[in-house]
Amino acid sequence: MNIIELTDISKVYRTKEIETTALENVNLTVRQGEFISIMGPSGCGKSTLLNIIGLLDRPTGGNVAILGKDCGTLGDTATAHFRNENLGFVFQSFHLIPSLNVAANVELPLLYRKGVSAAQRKTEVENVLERLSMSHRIKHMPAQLSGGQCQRVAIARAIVGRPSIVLADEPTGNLDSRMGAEVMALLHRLNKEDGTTIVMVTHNEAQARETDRIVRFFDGRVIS
Amino acid sequence: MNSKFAQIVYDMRHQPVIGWVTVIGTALSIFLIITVVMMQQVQVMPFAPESNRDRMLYGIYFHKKSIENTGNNDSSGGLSQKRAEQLYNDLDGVEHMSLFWPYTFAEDVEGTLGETFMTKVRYADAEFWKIFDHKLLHGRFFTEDEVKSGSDVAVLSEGTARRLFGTDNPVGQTYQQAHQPFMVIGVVANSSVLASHAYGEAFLPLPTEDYGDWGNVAAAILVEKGVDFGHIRDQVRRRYAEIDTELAAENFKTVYHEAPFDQETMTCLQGSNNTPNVADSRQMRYIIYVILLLVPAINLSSMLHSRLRRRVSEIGIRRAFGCTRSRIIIDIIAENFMVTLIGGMLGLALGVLFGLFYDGLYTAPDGIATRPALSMLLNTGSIAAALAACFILNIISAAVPAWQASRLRPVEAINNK
Repeated sequence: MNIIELTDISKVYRTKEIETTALENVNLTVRQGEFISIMGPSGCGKSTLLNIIGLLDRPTGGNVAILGKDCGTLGDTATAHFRNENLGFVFQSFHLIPSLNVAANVELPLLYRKGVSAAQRKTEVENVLERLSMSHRIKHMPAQLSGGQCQRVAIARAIVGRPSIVLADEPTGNLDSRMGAEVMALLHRLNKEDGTTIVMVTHNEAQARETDRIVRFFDGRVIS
Repeated sequence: MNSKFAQIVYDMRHQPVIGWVTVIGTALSIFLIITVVMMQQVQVMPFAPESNRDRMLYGIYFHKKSIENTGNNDSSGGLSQKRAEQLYNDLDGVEHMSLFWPYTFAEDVEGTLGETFMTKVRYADAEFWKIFDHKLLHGRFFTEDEVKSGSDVAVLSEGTARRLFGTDNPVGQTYQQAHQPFMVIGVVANSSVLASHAYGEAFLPLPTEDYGDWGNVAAAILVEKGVDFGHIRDQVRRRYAEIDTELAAENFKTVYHEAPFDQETMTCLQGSNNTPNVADSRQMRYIIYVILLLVPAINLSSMLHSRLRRRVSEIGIRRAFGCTRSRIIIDIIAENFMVTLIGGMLGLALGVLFGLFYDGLYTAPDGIATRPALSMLLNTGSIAAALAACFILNIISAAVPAWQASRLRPVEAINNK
């Protein structure tokens, strides 16, 4: 079953003077439980594509269907709910909220989900941090964590709401090779154990080769 | 709630100048507002010996003019005893009616200690003690018979008694007032000059006046519980009409100014020949409140905007994980409300302390400066006013920055573009 279906996606940035095409007629399908890598040179449109799949940005043309739902028809609030229930995000620079401790950061997606009690949120957060071996840092602030720990917390935040899809934008880009390997191992574990579909943007050829499929981009087009 | 508080603490640590300026700015704004509220409040809120202010009406002036309204035949002034009784005696729905002097006057007194000093004297009838709850410490109040006979008896305040006799219980002793002897029959607790109708240092039986139109008395009317003031005014209006019949022979008619007046109206009297305008007075107060709220709100709004600029990426992340636009607005307003509340409570505390320790703010109608009791400044009304001011200040200052934050596109916000 295709969990992500992109049809003729294009994205054009327009200013008064210039028009920049970031994506041009991109067609892409991702099966449920697949772990794919998107590769390509800087500025080729990889992150733009990931943002469109994550419903953080809208395409200029084409159609985005996630879990069989045509997402182009969703309003702003419905899109927010859809993201909350089905999508998780991992960013290169972690993007943890500096004023919140580890537990509060991980709790974030559950906070915006209807019908989840405070007690349930606490249990879910504790469980996911236990699973990612971060329980001992539950009360720590992001500034007190290493880069690898920050990314593990970010992954915990991405999966605490049990999304079907995790979108990872260069998740090891800010980490040294040892921590990078740890994070990759974690993503593979999630993919295998939970069947979570993962779409990862990366510059790391070796890490990409470990995934099920590599989609290569150049100048806003899929080349292989 | 915890995360909002954590955010506030974080902001205070990482943007201390903006954080503290916000709190102090809010505190000063609430301080100004609450000071204006308290100054109004002490004029209308019930406190002993004017514990029944919410049931009080006052008849204080009389105004008549020629029927043809020609020449210089328009006269107004204080009430004579005759007119006061005609207008306000035996009204339906009234518990007690007292005739008294609506102001005090200063006279020299001398007691057994030999010191001569000025004291504030008020004339009143026997009903006065049933309307105003002066706390009787010793002796008794004067009776109707003593008032009618013009007895030379006096009820003193505790402070005056001590100063005249060196004791708080001089009942039965005599002192000189304007070279005339008065026997002390009772001593009451000192009262605040802010109880402008009940305050006095020496109370004497109301002297009988001549029976013209004008005099020095006022009628204090304690309305029965549950009786509408309109019911009392309707009766008084009819009595004015009766006096018109009497005055018609002299080619005069009365001018009715919606008397008797309630406590709030008594704070905005504009002379004996004008109808007091409570609406205008309120409107002026509301304009002051709006200015006092709007000016700081604009400044606080720009400060919140600065604080939020550093949190653009966080807002993007929250949006990515499912936070809706409306939730962003609510969260920012709620968070800002907590900051406003901290500033507001500081402002309330400042207002109370200022009222308690600064002499010149609260003055009685005769110009005596005073310091109100703590309970007159810090009470349910002032706390509610402070909370309401905080809420409004918060909404005005946070609405635009919160709305702007909610309009950020997630992808641009995450990358802080």
